[in-house]
Amino acid sequence: MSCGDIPDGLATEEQGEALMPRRVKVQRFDKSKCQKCRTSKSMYIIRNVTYCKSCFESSLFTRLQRTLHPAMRSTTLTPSEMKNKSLASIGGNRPLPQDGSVLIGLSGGSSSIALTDILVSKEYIGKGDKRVVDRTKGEKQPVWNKGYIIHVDFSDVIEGSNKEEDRSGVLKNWIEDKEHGLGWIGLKGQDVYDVNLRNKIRRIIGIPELDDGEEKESLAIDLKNPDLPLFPDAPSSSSSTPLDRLRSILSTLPAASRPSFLSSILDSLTTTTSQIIPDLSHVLLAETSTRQAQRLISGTALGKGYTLPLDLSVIHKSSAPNGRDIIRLKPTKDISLKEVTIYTHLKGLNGLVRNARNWDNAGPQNRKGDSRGKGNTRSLESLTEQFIASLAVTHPATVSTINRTGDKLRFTGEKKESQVECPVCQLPVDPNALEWKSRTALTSLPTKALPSKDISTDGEGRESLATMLCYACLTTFTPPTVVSKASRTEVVPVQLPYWVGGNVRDRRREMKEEVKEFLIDQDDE
Amino acid sequence: MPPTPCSLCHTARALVKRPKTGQQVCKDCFFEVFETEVHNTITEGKGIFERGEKVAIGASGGKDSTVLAHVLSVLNKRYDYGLDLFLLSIDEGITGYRDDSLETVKQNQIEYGLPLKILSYNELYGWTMDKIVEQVGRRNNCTFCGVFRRQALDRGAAQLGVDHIVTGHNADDIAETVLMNIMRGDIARLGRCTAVTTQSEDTIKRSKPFKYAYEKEIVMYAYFKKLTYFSTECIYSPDAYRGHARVFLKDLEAIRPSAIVDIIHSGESFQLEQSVQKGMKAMQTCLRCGYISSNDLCKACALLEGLEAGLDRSALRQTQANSSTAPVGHRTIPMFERYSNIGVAQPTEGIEKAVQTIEIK
Repeated sequence: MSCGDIPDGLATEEQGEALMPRRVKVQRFDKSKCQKCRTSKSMYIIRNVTYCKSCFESSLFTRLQRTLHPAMRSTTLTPSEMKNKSLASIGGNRPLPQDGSVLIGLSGGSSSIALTDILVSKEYIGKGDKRVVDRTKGEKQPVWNKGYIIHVDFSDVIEGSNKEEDRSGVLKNWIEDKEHGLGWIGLKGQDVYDVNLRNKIRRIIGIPELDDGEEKESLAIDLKNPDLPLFPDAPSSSSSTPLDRLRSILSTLPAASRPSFLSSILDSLTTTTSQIIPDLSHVLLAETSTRQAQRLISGTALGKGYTLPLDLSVIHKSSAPNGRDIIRLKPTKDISLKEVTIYTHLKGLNGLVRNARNWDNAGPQNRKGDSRGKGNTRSLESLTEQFIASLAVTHPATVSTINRTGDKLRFTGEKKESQVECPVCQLPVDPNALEWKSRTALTSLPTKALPSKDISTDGEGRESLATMLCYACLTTFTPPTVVSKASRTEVVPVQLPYWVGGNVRDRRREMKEEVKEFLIDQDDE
Repeated sequence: MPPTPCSLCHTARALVKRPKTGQQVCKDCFFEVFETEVHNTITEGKGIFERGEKVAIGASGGKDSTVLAHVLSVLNKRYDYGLDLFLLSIDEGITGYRDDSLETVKQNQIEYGLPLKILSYNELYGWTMDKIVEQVGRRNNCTFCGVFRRQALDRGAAQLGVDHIVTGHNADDIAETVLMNIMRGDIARLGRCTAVTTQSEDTIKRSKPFKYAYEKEIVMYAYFKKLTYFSTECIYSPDAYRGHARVFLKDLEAIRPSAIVDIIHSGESFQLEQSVQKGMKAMQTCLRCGYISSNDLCKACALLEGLEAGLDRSALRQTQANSSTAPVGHRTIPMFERYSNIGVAQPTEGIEKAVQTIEIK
């Protein structure tokens, strides 16, 4: 079809109007140049936008600020009000000093290393000397007076061909080389079986030890019995080491439950440390958007739906012993794993980074009855990681869509003061968890009688941990195959970590307090 | 090695290992525990059913609906629910698949003595799935089938005069749906997909008595009870998004069998932010066919308009906004009458009615 093209310069005005207007030339961007500054050579492409090194760094920092700043004290706006405001209107590019210290969880993965590096390089963390800054020399007012780094090492319980060495030394050297006065708190997973844990942390921080007045006895549990009966354990003078006790409970737990248990240990150690550090203001956990999406899906698969909104929340407040609120924050929530990995590469930190947790290999390997899933995975968490990673290839919006869904969930429980907490994960207990489980998966029939000879010494009449746990922890501890009482032979209880025993004792005390006026004989415990 | 005794009755020899709990049980105890769990689902809280209610069982001839028809008949007698049961089947017009499975449904009708109604896409919409796939292609055709089937079930139920539909959705289906809705960001569905009974204003109640029953256990039940069912997958089931969730769910189950009910438990606990709930559209009726809709036109009318216009996959994107009159020459869906005008006196028990129907034939 001829378009009646007339050579340029020869068209008259009338002819110009009769022609189809010449199409405006679209300026296609040059992928070799950074799309932000349009001058430097582009180095990275994130979501179809090209960045040079410095624009990438500043874009990453801006996104970090958007999550970090709303959680700072001295602002009256709520996080949802903050969301749509520009940084300038929030209060400038730097938050006000928080008059407290900060605790950063450092796992040794890209995101925690990147977060620490950024906060230190932007002078957000002071050296603890409260000295006056000289702005004329370009110094900046720190946001926190002092920073502490907590690293928990689990290498002693990771076995098999993927066994990792303890990386605490390497990471500690990096932190102390920074000369920023960051306090290093290096712990091990088995420290939850150390009766003197709190004083150990005080020694590390450099504050005086205290007598916490806690009982030194712990509790043991029979994990083969679905009722999870509790036994009083021998006092801590027993000859087994904390590592032996951790290995003992890991070998008794099903392989699929071990990562959840290790995760509870990590949370407990972080919480205990946060209650000991003086004047702690914020706890920062460097969870990326990728990890967040994995936690939502794996949390759903673990039955954690009730407390997921609390677990996933960017900002979560808890009380410290001194009465002040501690704010737990996930500043890297909107940053993907790919971006933090690029950052650590850019800064030459890749030698420090180890992204794989390897918790699938915790405890003894290849035990009879352990199931192995796709890709040789042994836990729901690692299966979920693989699944999200593979789905993100064909459906790139997967991670952001999952996170948007998670943002819209809310916690339906009661106010904190009246909420009963799970002794293991210390999150609210879902109502009627045990009853729901029993109703949906019957393990006995009301019409069938139990055999006349019953083993009565394997937990009958003992307190049951199963009645106190939240649904997810109940699933973690419940044996995978329900074995009838008649076929259970030897009862071998394993020791529970001290924090669980402590919470069970507190719960018992609370329950006794509620009913004490109705008790006739007050038995001494 | 001595035979293992059943973990439930402790007397008979164990013949099966329950996929849900890993318990080794005898056949009779397996039947009893399966049926008791379904009974518990039905009677939980105020119960799904009311005495004297007319209940239509969505029957496809597959394992879920066949076992559902069997179990519901058994429990109705055993626990005296007092229900009037019917079989309702939808013929999507898939040659070599649905015509064969409908034969299974007709067998079920005779075996359980339940009256059967079959409603076809052809008589309702003027299109069969064969013709739809020919025009639209093999991708996204599940959307057409799902939307059309939902309306067809409601219309069939309204014609039967029933006020309750039960479907054979099992625990695996519901867990897949929870995962899928999280992954796709479908907040509205996430909020309601785990409810055992769903009902909007002026729609027929739908329930899922197999909500906590594992697919594997349903197959085992049908196998040991020697129930006849049609076991082939739909020939048009494509590489749908649900497939990703299904594969993932099976992998989770392999590591921890309780993962399926754990996902359902999580789904039941999910609650949405109030601002999200308020932002959802209110229900209205379709301006063209009178079926319930969140827009001026229901999805079925919109899809049908696209098909009638000769569109291919773009029929999926037809607008649902404000066009109550169909273009000239286009077939439309008949007006939906929620309450049928059938005035025939119904006997109180379904079995008696079934005997009457057979006698007339």
